[in-house]
Amino acid sequence: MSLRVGIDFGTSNSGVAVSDGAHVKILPIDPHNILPEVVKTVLYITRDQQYYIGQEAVELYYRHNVNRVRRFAKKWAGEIDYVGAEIHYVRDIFVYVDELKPGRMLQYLKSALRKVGSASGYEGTQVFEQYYQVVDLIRIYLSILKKRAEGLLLENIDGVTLGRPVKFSDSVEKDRLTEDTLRQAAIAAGFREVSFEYEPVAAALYYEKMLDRSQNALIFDFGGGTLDIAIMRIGDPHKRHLYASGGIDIAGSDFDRAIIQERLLPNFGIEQASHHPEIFELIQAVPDWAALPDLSTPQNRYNLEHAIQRGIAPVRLKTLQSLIFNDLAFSFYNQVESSKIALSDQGATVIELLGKDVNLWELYTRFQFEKDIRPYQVQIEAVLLDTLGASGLEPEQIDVVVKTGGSSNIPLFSNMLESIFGVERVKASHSFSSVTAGLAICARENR
Amino acid sequence: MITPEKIEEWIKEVGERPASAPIILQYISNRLRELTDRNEKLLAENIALISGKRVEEYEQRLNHLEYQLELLKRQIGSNLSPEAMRGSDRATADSKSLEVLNILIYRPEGRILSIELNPQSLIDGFNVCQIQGELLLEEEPPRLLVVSSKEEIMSIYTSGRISTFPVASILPITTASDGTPGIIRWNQASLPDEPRGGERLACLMPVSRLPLAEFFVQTSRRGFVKKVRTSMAQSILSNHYIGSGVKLPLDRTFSICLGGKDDHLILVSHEGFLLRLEMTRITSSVEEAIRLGTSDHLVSAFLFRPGFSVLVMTQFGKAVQITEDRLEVGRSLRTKGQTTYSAQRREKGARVVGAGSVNGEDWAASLHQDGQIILYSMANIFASGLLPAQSQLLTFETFLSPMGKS
Repeated sequence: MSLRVGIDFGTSNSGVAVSDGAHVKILPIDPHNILPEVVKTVLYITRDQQYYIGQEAVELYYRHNVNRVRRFAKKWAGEIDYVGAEIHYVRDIFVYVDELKPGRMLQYLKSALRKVGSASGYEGTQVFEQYYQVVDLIRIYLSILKKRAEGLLLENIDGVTLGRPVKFSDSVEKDRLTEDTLRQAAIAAGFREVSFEYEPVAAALYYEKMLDRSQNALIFDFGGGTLDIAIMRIGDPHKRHLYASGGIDIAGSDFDRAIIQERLLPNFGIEQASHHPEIFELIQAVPDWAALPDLSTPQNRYNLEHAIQRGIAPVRLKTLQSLIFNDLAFSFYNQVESSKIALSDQGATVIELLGKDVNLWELYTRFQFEKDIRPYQVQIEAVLLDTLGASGLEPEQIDVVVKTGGSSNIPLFSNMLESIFGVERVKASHSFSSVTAGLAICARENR
Repeated sequence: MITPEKIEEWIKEVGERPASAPIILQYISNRLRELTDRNEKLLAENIALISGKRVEEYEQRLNHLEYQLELLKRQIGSNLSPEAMRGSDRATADSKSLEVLNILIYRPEGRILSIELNPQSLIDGFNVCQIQGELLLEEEPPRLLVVSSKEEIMSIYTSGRISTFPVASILPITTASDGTPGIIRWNQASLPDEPRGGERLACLMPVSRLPLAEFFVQTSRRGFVKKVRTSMAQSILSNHYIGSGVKLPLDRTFSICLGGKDDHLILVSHEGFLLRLEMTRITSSVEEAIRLGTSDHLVSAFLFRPGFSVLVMTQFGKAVQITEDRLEVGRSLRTKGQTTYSAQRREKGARVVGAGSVNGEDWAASLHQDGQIILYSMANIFASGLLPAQSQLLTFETFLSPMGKS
């Protein structure tokens, strides 16, 4: 009999689970992590093309990169043909490559997946001598998950039910393209049978295990990359009904970006650099996790050093220089994310980044956080009410609201749900594992 | 950074959730404490700047750098001369002349013989010349130093006095043109700076690396060491005095080398004892590093080159190679060090005449009892473990081949 597992391939975290029909087992897939059942969706590729995921990738990245020595070499990258009315010439293009770079850390793989075929045209990335398409990166990640799961279960895994957001894209065609890309990656990773289930539906199925009667449930799956909503009749596996589903591309990573944009850019001198476009552009790129690693070029180093010598906010630009050139980007984004998480439980936290020439300290309160993400909350509330409207149900007809995903713990959104549906009807499910567990149930039922 | 708007927002947080007040207070007071500490350090720095102490320090550093620049200019001066810049033939000739090595042979009385050696003629077993006349003076054999003709040399006297001169100022002695070893005599030697009453020439040291070094490391014949910061170089050179580095009445200055704080100093004695010492263990006062027997004295003091071996040569031409893993690091001063060969061989009269930190690409020059100076490839010494010499050795000196050629 073939073995199928459920995999929640999340924006920030992933998980693998298996069900025997009676019980669901979330696999301790990342033994290095504090929560072994959750594995960070990060992939570290070393210069010799070795692959690491999860906490091991994070630790290796820190060991290899922070405050390391760099050596840039000019390398030929290609040529450009200039064709004019009476002129045609070819020009060589050179790039500066850090020859001592030991590895490259890739995070937000799911966000990259969503960009496939989009206007931003993100198709892949060059890692040392090899070009990786997005499908390759996800294949590598999934194949490591599969191998680890097989090691734990001592059995070959043939099939997988992968979670997917209700909408990868507003465009039906792009949505299909993204799902196909994920399917290709799963097949290439060694899964012979691949099926998909909406993530909030999976969370609902897990919640269903705890019910002894049918209920109308609204699943509010709010993670790192998207918000997914499903309104379902659950409780009796034979009479399940999906009333409506909806979602929006707003989630935890957008809040991280908002924090950086609103609170941290002044620490890098954005106000003082407004008349220096070459520096201003660098600072504006800081909230973009994908852009930051590419800023460490000799030209940018020269521009920064020149500006520091000219006395343009020297301390702040030194902080920016250190962030870019001492490989502190990963620590920086982690700090921001941790601070955001801390504000779910307490009223204030400190975003702190220490390092060579860096002493960034920002006291950040929940009041400030809620102010910074208020525009998102308005959009989220609109999507929630739209989905509810599409289901044909009134708020009072919803028996239970199940929150899942890390961002669902943010008090602003808990309060929003409680004000619409009532405090007693809002329940929290396992933030990081309810989708994974639900996918295992789907995998078992699809068998 | 803290702005009035932010403070307003913190107050609003406390207004909305009074439970946040203690944690905000805690964060702010921690930060305040940290900033107070930093502020105190900055104020102290400011006081030092205002009082001129820092200015003095920087002036000293500038003087030192200016001196180092002067040294470098002297070394490459001929290449930068207008003539050399104008005439390409002349420039080519100069670049060739850069490759010329000089073997300096010197004695305590201050006499220095210089023999030019073209690196193209570096051949294993090459007989450079033969010195006629008395070799030992006050029972000490002459010492050798192989340097580029563009080097600047510092001569150190047993009184602690120093002087400097360029190698080019010592007129080289040409040996026979037909390839047979030329005969040279001590009366052909130069005397760039005659020792004053009672003092002797202790050693010659090339100083081109001075700008890159952090310390002068001085050793005495009886195994005492001290280090002096190279930031003092300007004052040392202008006063012509570095100190004798000697504590005992019968001891005298042996050598000086240049090093950095991460380097290791190797001391090798005549009776075959070796001590490897971390630079950090050496103090600026004269301290006994290796405890030598009453009849023993140092024959070699040099810096260890990481990854290389130490080669110790006896007067019989027997080479002892000690790889890095077998070199013990001296944990304390005043120890006997490790032995380089057995006690039986020592009892039979084996004595060390020279040593160095080398690899297979290096070379060595040796002075023999019959006055011959012969070149040896280190690769061949490693291979055979012996010098194919007719007579016993008096002095053995290793050197790097120019531009890494072997």
